[in-house]
Amino acid sequence: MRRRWLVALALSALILLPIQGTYAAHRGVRAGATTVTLSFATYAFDPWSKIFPQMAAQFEKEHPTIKLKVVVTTWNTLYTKMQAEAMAHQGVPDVFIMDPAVLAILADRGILMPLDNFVQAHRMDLSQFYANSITDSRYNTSARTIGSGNLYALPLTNDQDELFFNQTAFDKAHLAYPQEGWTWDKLRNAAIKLTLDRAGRNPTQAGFDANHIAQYGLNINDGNRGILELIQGAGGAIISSDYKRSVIDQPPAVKTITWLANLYKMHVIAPPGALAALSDAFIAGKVAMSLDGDWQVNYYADTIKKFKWDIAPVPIGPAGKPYVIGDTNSWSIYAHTQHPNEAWELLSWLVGQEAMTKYAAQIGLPSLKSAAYAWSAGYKAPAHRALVLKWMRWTHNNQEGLHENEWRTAVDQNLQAVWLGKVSPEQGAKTTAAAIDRILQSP
Amino acid sequence: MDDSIGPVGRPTARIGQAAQIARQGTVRLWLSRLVNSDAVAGYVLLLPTIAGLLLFSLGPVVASALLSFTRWDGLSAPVWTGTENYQLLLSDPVFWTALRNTAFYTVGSVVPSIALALLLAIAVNQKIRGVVFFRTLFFLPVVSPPVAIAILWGWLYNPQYGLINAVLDRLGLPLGQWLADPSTALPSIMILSIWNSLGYNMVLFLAGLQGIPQEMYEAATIDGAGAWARFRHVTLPLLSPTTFFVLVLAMIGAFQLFDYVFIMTQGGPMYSTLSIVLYIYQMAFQNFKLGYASSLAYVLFVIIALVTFVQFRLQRRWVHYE
Repeated sequence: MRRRWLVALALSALILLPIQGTYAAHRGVRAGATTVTLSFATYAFDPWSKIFPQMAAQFEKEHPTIKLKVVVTTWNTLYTKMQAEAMAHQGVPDVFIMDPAVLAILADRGILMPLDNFVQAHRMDLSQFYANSITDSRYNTSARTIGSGNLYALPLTNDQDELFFNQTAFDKAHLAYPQEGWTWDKLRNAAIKLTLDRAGRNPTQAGFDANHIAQYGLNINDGNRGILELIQGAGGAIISSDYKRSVIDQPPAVKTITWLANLYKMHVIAPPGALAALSDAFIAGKVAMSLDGDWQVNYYADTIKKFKWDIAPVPIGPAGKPYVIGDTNSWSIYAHTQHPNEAWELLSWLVGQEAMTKYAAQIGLPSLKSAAYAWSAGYKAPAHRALVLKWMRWTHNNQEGLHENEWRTAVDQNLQAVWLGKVSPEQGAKTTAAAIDRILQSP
Repeated sequence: MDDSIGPVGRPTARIGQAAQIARQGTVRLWLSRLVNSDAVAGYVLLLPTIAGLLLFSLGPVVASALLSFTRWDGLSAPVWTGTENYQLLLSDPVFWTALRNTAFYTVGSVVPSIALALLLAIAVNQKIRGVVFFRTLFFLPVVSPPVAIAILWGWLYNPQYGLINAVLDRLGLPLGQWLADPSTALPSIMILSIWNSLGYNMVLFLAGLQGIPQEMYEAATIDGAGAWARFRHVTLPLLSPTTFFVLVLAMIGAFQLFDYVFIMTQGGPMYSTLSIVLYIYQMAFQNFKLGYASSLAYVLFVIIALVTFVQFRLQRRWVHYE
């Protein structure tokens, strides 16, 4: 009997002890007295996934006392995972890629390390980067908006939207290519003619079969950032400048929504979710034009072989001036990293001339002015890629705030009622404004 | 030794010593019983499970209850706000939409799932050639990963390139937008869910059917009962404990719809497939409102508990254990 009791105790201990041991192991291991291991995270996007291990290898070669552990996750889980790790106080990467959509949230929650002291101590000249990239990397903890305050990231790429277009489709339809100075009217007219059913008919032709569309005329591929861009191109906005209420129900925004709703009604833009199964509708040749970010340029150059394509600036809206939203991908350091100096060493290397020229240029337009030329080097397609540097003068920052994730979801879900023809544009804008106001006013 | 005399004339020191000896003997006896007790050995063996339940189940349940009365982003300290979250919840139209969707999904998927699973179980309970193959086939979706199933069905439902519309088109039937249309998105998810759960429920019903004594059917046949009468008066009543079990589990599972809507629709279009659990996830891990998410979770818990309680009360009327 006693033996049975002791056996039971031993078995229980055998089961419980490894759990305690595993927990201890997760507290982290320092590689050795002279070598530091930094975890270095990014989200999975084909060109990036290939480059990051190369960057890591070169950095390690030049910095023998620092080892890098590259962690790659999907975009929509990287920051969720990071914040869950921050809640658990373990596992947060030391250095990670920063997306503008989450910089405000992470900075506000104290997950990002302010870099101003490092910049001053190492006398880093921030004017060597494009000004809007630096602005995009600042967060004001009092006003709780991006654009001013402490520096929480160093810029990697300076992205903006372009109009990608399928030249082969334009040639078949005998249409002139998009170019600088194109207006919304020209965009709309071309998009209608480029929307084709299986029999090659467009929506203005008798017998057009909306159930069997082979090619859509236009795609807005960047979620509702594209819608924001169009609204602002019409002189409107989604959120007021003081970030206290929504103005999407004001006339300029309603005009934009109405314009888009007509395109959806004519089947020029695919209904929400219709092309979701495709990894990229433009590469698949299912859309003739796509409003998307310039991070796609090199990816498309490497991938698209079936047709000719090019880029043009975002068409001019009713406000009469080009309006393009710019975003900056950047690098940040975890606020509670155990190796801040080594993390800074990595960060400053990543934004240096060599890394920007050799690696960042493969991802997008480098934020380092002296490396921007490298974006075009070695690539033939598209023909107008060098003009992106000129089009940058129209770029405006999108000043993300804390509730951006939440209200973007509200915009997306509520405007779908308009795109699907369930409610009028005015009603949809009203409902969306009410939803956004509720979010902005929530604690 | 003190030999002073106590009140009844016995030496007190000897009484004390004897008491001490008696106590020691009692303790030894108790310890001996403890060490040799089967019950104690059992409890010790249960210790890892109990520790796990306390640490990973009960602990978070209690913590979540407390957090539902706070505003907390998961990183800074929680701030006590009283019933603020519950008040917000009552006026949150997205919550009510999610609740409506979840209720519709639960009723709309559980009932057909049980009915179809029962029919399948009856079918595979026959002594026909190849029945083992069919039982395996019907059970395959149960062991397939939910993410893979969701991706596969996402392709089937694609309005442009999906197999479902391709077949409908070939047959000259109207095409559907399926997941892209708010009126068909949730029913599409329900169809997938029914398909996925059929095998599991079928196996449970099969076990229940095989537990019904053959004599019952023979007696019914002798009494002149046809196939339908035997099903109605023998099979259904004797299968009622299994049906009750399947119903309770299916409803609890349906209320926790998450993986399919997370992978396939993210709650859209127009919130038409937003479930309560997906909303909890979005609030907690995308919007960092863990206090509010906890209040949503507790409301869900209360709803599931109420529904289960009602089921247990009503079972007396239709579940026959003998």
